[in-house]
Amino acid sequence: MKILVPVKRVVDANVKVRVKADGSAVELANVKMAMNPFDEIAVEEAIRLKEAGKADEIIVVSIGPQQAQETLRTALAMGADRAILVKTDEQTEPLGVAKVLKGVVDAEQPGLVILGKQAIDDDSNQTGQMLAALLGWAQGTFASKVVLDGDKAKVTREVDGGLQTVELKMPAIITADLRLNQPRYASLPNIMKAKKKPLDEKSPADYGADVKPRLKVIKTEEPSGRKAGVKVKSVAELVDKLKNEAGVL
Amino acid sequence: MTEKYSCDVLVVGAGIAGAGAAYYLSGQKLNVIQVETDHPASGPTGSSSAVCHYFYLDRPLSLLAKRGIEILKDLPGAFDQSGVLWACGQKTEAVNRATVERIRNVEGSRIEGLTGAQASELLPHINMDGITFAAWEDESGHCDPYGATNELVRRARESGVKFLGGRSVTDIHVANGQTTGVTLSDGSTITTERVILATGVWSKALLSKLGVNLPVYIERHFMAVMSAPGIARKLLPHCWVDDTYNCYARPEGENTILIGAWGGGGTSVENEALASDHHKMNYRVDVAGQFDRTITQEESIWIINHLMPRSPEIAELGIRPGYACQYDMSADHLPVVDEIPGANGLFVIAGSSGHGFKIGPAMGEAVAKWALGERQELMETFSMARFA
Repeated sequence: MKILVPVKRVVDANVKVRVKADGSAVELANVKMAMNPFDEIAVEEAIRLKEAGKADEIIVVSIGPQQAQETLRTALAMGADRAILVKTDEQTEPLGVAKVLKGVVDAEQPGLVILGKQAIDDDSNQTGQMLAALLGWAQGTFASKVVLDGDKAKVTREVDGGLQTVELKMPAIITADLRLNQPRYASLPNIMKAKKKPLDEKSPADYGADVKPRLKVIKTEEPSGRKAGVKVKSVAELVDKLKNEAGVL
Repeated sequence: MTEKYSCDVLVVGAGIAGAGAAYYLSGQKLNVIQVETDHPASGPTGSSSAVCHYFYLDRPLSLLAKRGIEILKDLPGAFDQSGVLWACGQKTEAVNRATVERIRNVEGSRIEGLTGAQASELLPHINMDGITFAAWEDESGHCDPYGATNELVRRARESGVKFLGGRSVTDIHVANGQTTGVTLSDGSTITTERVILATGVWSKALLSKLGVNLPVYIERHFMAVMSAPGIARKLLPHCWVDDTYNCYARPEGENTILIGAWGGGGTSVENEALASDHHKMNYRVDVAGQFDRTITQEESIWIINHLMPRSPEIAELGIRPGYACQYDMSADHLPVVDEIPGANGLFVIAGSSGHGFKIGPAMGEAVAKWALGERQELMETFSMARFA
């Protein structure tokens, strides 16, 4: 069985995000980028399934600019077998990405697609669900545990009320939540080996997918800054401030 | 709200040197204030590898390290007596051997000289090919820099030092050659005749307002962090320093190993080719605090390659995100510590050049004593005048 793992290149989680001066978008120039952390978890899960003899090949795919190649190399260094870069300089949206992924699925015929539940840049949390709908496949979202048994996948989901276990008929879509696993760190020899693993370059048109944005960003804003606190000298002053400044009494 | 404070001694900065100064002063029955722009150890101190050893070719550094380690060991839980093994090859054997003799016999610190074979027994996962001599400090080791600094500051506060956090010194006032006080970023003022600037990389900008050109500059250095779940102490039970590949490494807890590299200074370096790369990799930072704290995969690999010939086992572990910090450098890689000429009572501790953590508590103490009128002779080594 093949496992397909879509990965996204996003601003590194350790970087302090800044909005462009004109408010059009988040500043990406000279900002450190990395693999979306939830996608790292998806890659790790696929590798563990392969190590357990449940899968034969792991294909990672990224839809994005040329530099998304680095993200794919990271996944290859972790243990994926080959990579596909679907190159586009358009701002990608979940529906466009899901359409490309449908094309990749049709071409590669994986038994399982594992991807992050959402990307930390736009927090859309839509791609996996849209892909399941386009393919007419079962989906297990927010997975914290995955057990494969024949053509069935048991997925434990993290839902508001606790844990819910669903059984999916494969092929299926699984979206990874935070507690599914702890991703491994690529080692230097594996980083070197990854440089030699196959990486195909495609375009959205190769899969007949239209990735033109449907959404228009009107404004991007930073959260308003917090004002420094003050020390009050007495209870009376505190009460006065709560009444007259904060307006909570 | 602006306030008017006054004190006998003001300590500016709560890195390890400022913490050391405040800690010493807290026992002197004086009115002491410590100002810190963020929180203790928030600057270079917190990202120090905090390897603590006596082995220095420069005697003043050895002596300060001795006292520094003594202070650090007194802080519960902060010091890990992992031991430090400092290895070299033929090229620097003679000088390293003489240094070990001096440190043991003259300074009375605990250190001994080992052969390559003896070093192998201590670190069996390091390949000692070409190692002819190693300095071994069994009771030295490494420290938790945050824990140690915060404990010193906590003790100082407990003994009456007033700690003003979240504020920085914006101006130092000098009248007729005498320091008179400072202004803080919130507009408050502190009247005092003695100021210890333990502000490291931030000192140069502050002193330039007084027309003083402190002979220091900032470099960005970085560490690789290796993932060694459950095996960190097995692979590397002691801190490892290697003259032949300009490399050091130490265990961090049970699951992690830190690796760093250096380009010379204070110690002897055998491999000139690797050392010459450092000026390119450890580039200068123009404005203190404005640098990239994260590091690239290429930077991690560059560091790891220093260790690869000695320990493929460690160098081939998973690579965690590494981190960068600011080194407060001087031209001769020795600290710049002095009473500022023309500003009586204004002392600066800067230019620690990568030695800052282990000597910090002692340097803070020494300058605090100096501010109270007792100047140690070894301070001469660090004077600004040596660059004049």
